[in-house]
Amino acid sequence: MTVERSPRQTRWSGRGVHADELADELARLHHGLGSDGRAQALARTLNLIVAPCSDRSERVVDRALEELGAHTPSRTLVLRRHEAARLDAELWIECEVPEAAGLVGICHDRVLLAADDSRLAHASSLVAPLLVGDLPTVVWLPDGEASVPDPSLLGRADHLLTDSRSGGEGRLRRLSELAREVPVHDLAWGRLAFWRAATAAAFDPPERRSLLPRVDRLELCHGEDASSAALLLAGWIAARAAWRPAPIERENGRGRARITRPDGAVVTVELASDRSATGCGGIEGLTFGAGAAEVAIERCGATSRLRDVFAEALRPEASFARGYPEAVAAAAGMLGA
Amino acid sequence: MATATATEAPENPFAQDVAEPLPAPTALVIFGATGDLAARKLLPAVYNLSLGGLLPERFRVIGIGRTASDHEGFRAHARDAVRAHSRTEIEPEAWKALEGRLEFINGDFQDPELFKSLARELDEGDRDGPSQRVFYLAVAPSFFGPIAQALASAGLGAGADPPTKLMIEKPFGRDLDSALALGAEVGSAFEESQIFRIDHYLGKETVQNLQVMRFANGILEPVWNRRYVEHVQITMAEDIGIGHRAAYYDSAGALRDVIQNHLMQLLSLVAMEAPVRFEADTVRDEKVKLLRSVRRYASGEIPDYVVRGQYGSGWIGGEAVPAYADEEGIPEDSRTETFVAMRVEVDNWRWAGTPFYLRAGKRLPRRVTEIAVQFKPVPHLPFAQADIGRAEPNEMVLSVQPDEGASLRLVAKIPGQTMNVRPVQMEFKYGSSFLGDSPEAYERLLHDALVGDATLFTRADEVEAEWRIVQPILDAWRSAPPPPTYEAGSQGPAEADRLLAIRGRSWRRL
Repeated sequence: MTVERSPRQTRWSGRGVHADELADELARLHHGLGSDGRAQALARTLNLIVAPCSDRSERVVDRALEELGAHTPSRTLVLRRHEAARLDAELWIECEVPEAAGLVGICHDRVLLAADDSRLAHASSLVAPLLVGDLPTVVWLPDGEASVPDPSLLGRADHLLTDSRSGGEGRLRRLSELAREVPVHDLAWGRLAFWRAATAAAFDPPERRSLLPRVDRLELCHGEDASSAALLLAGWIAARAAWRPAPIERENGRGRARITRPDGAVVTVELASDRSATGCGGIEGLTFGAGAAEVAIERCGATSRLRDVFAEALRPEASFARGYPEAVAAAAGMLGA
Repeated sequence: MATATATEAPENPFAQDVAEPLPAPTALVIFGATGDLAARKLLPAVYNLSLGGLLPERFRVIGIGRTASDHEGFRAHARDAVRAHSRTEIEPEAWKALEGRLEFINGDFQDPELFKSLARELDEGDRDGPSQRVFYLAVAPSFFGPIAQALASAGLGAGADPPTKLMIEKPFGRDLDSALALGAEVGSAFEESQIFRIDHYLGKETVQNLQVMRFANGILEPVWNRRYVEHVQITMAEDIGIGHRAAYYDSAGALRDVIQNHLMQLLSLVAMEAPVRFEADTVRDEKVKLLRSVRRYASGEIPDYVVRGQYGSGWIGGEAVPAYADEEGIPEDSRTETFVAMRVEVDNWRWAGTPFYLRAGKRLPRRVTEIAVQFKPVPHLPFAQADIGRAEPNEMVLSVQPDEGASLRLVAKIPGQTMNVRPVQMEFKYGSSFLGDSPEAYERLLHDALVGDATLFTRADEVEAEWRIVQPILDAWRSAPPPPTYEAGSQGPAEADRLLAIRGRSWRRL
């Protein structure tokens, strides 16, 4: 076991350790804060459990956690998979070094737990001694495809954080199941906030609302890597308009579904991929048609970059996922068997 | 009783999942569009709202001024302003989308023709359907009344269809009479519900958080009253001088510049009763009630309750700075106050006997705006043996700037063999507890006005109540000796300490 100390980071690592001894090591590292004469305070606003993920996603996770530390100090527990039949751990305390005398550096800690599949299948028992009580707990699934290594982790989660855009359309089906168990904060859903607000605004005038029961087609233009986001948006519209979803048929980069309005009439939903699309959430625009009448919604320069969707999704506010379970269920219904 | 008809439009099913609804289609008309306020605050706010997807699809800005020549000139000016002052970088694609929505009309605010051509321009822009018209007067206050009247004459005031809104920013008058006159002039052109008076302090996160702190935390309400609060200090200190505002500042002074508006707003938010709902009029009703319960001092009482001062020369941040009277554009014999400290008595059941001390000044040691609620000491300290250290009363400090946050002072035992204590701070700062940047106050306020939420705007009766508190002070000062000077970089005039010098009270050190 080794301990390395610098003004910005204190690190402890051990191989073949037990989870309960890690809590003591963390406490020791906390007591060491400020031992170099700097004023440093430990701050934590949530427990963040990161599920095992692919190498590619690990880089994304590391980058996100670095930024997270500066703004929302958290007890972060990162789970990784390895072959050896033991638990290895690394503990970090990372600090912002005070820039001037009289300032206090904010510190947060991070725990990396590397374990084999049999231990990860009981990940809930691994993280239990390390969770900070009375704080919201978020379980992050960085890989769109990955599943929760231990289903009982969900029982500890106030909400699940994921990004359906990285998992392809098939991911929506699994998320529709998860959304019944735990609030799901899907980053793709957050990126669609503008489109939801714009759609609501478009149907605010009474004459537009009167049009809605007569809508017979919906066209959505999306980026090449955003077909699942388009499906999610279409699912939300279908759910809120009380349309009954039907499977999408794909042909030449276009998806088409014939779904049913409450009065039994058919609404044709078309999802068209556009290589040049750069709109927020991967959507370039959408058009409702009702006979000769059309309601077109454009993106008008809005980007999702100003909004820190990751930050919004981490917060425990229920408003983030409002409408999501219905939307993702309808989207899953459009995937077909 | 209203009955549903067959032609009634159905509910909008999409609205239920939207946390931040988009405003209705809007034409935002900025008078003074090439001025300083527009460049530093308004145009960057418009850009960031656009970037964040918070503007409606049909949205345009019509700038009115005298220095840009045409649409292109205004767009170039706006791009420079956003580049210089926006909290975000310019994204070419996002700028391109906004740029095409910026238009300019060159004209003189005193020319009735300007308003006729504006009305025509607005009508022509409504080809795809009506849009609300929001008039932002980023101009000198002397233009507020005339522009409001001219807009009304052009059919753009009260009762206009499509609906209109008027946004103006303090100062709202320079005394009670002029404030009432301005209120009457603007009020004869626009309905009160159309007028959005900006006090940009209300757009700050901590100021909004004040109400959340008070009314969403059960442990505070039982102690937020005369029984437990010893006194409250509200401070707005600046280290800067008057900068380039000599003409305005010398005619205004600290009382008009910040006490009458910003500090009275903070006072009302700290001391008001809980509103029934967090809605514009229920919140503002409570604020007005509080302001009306502030004791108005008789002329002879003013010196005992209000202290003023004017900064002399001194040192700020290691630099020698001139006295106020030596600042460029200030007459040598100016009697304008740059510092005010006052004791405010709130005559109601909650606060009777608990003083609120307000303090604002320029050229003080550092920039800080805060509300400090000092609680009464414990009735009996059970640590009998003599010297245990500093067992100071609890204090809650809400910082508005520069670091937005809150802290609570508790007394704790110093680890060791002996029973020694010292104060410790429980502190939270917005920057370290919440993710992401807060929107600028102007972004929040502009968006609120566009969606018609007036909660963070000052109502006419609030403005009047504020002036009724400060008017007796202005009257008394007219015949009073000139304000004493205080050294720049000091804590203010020594006379201010007298206000608190009972029961061991003292100002929080700046």
